[in-house]
Amino acid sequence: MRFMFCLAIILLQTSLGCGTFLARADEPARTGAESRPVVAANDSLAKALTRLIDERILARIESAKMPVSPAATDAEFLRRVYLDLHGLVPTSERVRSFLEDKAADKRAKVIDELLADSRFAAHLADIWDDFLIPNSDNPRAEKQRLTEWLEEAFQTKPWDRIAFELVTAAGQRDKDAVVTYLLKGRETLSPAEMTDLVSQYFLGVRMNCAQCHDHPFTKWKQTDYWGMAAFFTQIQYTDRRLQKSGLIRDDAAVDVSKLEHADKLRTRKFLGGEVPSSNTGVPHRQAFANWMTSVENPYFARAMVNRTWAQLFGRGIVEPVDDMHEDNPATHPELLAELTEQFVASRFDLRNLCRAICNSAAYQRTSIPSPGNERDAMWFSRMAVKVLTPEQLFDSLAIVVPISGERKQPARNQNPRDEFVRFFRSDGDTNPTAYDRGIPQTLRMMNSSELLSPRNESAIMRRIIEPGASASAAIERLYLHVLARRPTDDERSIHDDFLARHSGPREQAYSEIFWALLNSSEFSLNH
Amino acid sequence: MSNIFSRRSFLTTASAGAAFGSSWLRTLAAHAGANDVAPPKSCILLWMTGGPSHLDTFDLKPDAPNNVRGEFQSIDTSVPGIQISEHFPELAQRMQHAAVIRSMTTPESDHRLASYHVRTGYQQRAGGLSFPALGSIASAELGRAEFALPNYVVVGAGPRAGTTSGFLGQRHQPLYVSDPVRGVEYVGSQVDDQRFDRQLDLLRRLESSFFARYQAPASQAHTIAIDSSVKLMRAPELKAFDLSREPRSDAYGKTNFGQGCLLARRLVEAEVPFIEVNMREADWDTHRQNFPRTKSLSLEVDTAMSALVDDLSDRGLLDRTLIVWMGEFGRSPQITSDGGRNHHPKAWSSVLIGGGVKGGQVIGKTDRTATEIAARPVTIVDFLATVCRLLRIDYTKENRPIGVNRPVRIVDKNEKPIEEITS
Repeated sequence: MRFMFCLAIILLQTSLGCGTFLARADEPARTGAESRPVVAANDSLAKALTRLIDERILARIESAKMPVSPAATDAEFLRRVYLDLHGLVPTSERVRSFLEDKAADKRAKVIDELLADSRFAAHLADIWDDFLIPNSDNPRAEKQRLTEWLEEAFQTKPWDRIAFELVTAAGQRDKDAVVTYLLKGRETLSPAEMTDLVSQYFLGVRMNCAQCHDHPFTKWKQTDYWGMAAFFTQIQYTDRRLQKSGLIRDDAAVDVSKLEHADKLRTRKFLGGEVPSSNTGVPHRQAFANWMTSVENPYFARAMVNRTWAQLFGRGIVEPVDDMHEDNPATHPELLAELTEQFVASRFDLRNLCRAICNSAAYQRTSIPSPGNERDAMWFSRMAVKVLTPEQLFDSLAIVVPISGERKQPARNQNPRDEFVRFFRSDGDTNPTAYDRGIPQTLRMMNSSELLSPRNESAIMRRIIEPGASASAAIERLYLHVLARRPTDDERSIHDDFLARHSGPREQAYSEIFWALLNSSEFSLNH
Repeated sequence: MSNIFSRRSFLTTASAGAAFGSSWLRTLAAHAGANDVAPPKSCILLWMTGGPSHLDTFDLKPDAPNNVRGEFQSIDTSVPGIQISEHFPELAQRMQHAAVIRSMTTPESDHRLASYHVRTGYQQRAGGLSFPALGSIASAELGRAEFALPNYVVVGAGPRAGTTSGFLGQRHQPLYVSDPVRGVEYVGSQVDDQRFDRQLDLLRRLESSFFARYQAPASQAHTIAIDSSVKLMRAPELKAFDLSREPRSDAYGKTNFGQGCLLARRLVEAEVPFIEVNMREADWDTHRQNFPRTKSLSLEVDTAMSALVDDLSDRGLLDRTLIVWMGEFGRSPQITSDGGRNHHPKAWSSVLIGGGVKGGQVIGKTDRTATEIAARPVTIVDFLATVCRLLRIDYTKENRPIGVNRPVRIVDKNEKPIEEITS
């Protein structure tokens, strides 16, 4: 197997012309279009990588002497992969066609299908716009423009290119959407804020402690922190009084001594590395972005691999995902290194990485514990149960029930989705497995007329259940529609009992079942 | 007579149409007073989002240079020797209830990090541990499990950094009420009680079937959220959230913050242990136009806070209700070219009223430009230990969060609670 894997790399190198992919990232010929010829080679590479993932994961499970949960059912798998790659549940038609499909490779096909769809890029944009503009500091219209930029970028560009363009973003506020994340009201992010953002999200390390003192747990010193911050001192926002057409650019003549913490911002220093030569004429941010996205950078690719893994498994190989340092070891260090190597070799192709992971047996295990692995928190002997993000919840509700969007006081600049997402967003734990919904959100799910009311329930039931359907068929339709699976025997008997005791109109009884399914923990979880 | 029984008897009275307005709250309070077990103390945290300027509120420096002193005059108060900003004229007349702390000193200068640190007592750090807000601690230590309302309520929209229950879990999450006038949204069911109960019963059966298979903690947390939501929907105390028949409404000012303070008073009457009122319509982050903004915000606080002190005092509740006025930091003494003040965590002010506080005193002081602490520095652990002691919470108690191999004290070590706060 190891041989296959090496062979794949060799194939890849040959197809690119050996050495090309080792070119430094700051050399010019790097565009999104250029990465396309790699796709064919990546296919066999992804297969080899999938096998490697399972080898490594199983090896650790065996040494931990832990049982492995069996494979997820087709229905479990389909709902999971839809939520993870597209951010919403599959329609009941898709569930049925998938369950009926007899092809042996139907799971691999659906993974390919989801990755090829632009909805994959939209889902990634949803995740990243919150990292880049938290709490909607910027007016919503601007955040929306950044989201669109990200969507386009994830659709057409590899990760190193996207990160490069974000870090070096420049241009006019109303024309170049990428710059919007650099602005907070009428200010640009300070060098310290840029350092926090870039280190946390692009490099997977937390530097903020080192802002004020040498980090107690890691090797980071204050000089590392301010050495990185010094790269972000040239960002200038001109014509800011014009608001919309203000220009964001790098000003080489900026007077650092006027900035806050000026004394610490004099020396640029790459993280854990050397001091760049001073008179290259390259703007500081560009020099930093070149270093950051270089194939030799030890943090950049690894951080994205770990983050992607966590997005799919609910837990990073290093956890927390933005706190990678020597005293916070990876659970599977070799695997992380190999995935990183391959991510770089594939020229930072996220689809390729997701394909390799989603096809693994590890990803396709059920989340139901087997006796003996109930407490497994890090060996991936079963799938984690993740909580739907507000975006996933809204988009899934939109599949299951047409959201009317009727609100008492719709705020300005808010479409129904934004309003809903804000209502369900918590500033608490960012761990994808942590349930953080409170009373207001629960009340809204249970009682809001935008979801289900005596006025619309009849229409909704008619949309889901064919007229004259038997009770058994109706229950099955409700389950496929809301939970993307068929009911278990246990559930069927609960519903038989419920219907037998229900004296009201049948349609109303179905609507009551629909309410219960919508408010079940299962609907709000990705299991 | 048990508390629960008295509430049930209220329910009967209410449905007979005999109780209106807030008289029922007094009935409840009276019953509670007659109880064997004294009700826990309550705390109202008036949270000044953005960080108010200490130099223009409670720590004026009339003798400082022009570019520090600012535009406001200081005025005498009901306590000889204590002076505060002219834009707190009503509060000035109630200074005998207040202890002004002029020597708060903290490390964080970022809104989010500072809010988290001040509200939880811990800095947000690597390691992933999510610390509980003071309100969640009060919920865990003072709250009662059988209580129908949440033990921690946050009123008013605003940044939520440091307002979650962290490792204390779902049961101590706050109830967020973004708009005090609208109260708890979506609390009424779309369907009649009989149907709601039937649906709920079905949901519970399905939940146990799912949990039996998946055993997911998130599923359990979901069930807890459903339980507390249903409990709230059915609670007679829910009336505390209805401000529509409240006769004292005008006295607090018809602002979000004013009505938030009014709601806080009603929640204290219903014995909720911790209520936070966020002031957010226009926040205190006055990098520009510090003076006009601070003036109007001060006047708004002055009206609401004075009405709150009066009402609690009239109802005999001031001794068991601690009011805390604070933001996440102070503002820089140097006035900027935009007429603003920047962030300043090194020295700032907070105010404590009621709850056993000895009023009419000033604790600590700053230097002549309010830049540095000149006497009795009060760190965040000192401050929170003081607040906990007033609320009768043992702040040295150790929690043991799951997955963490060290105990976590309610308030971190090296605390020096302010002794003179009570004596």
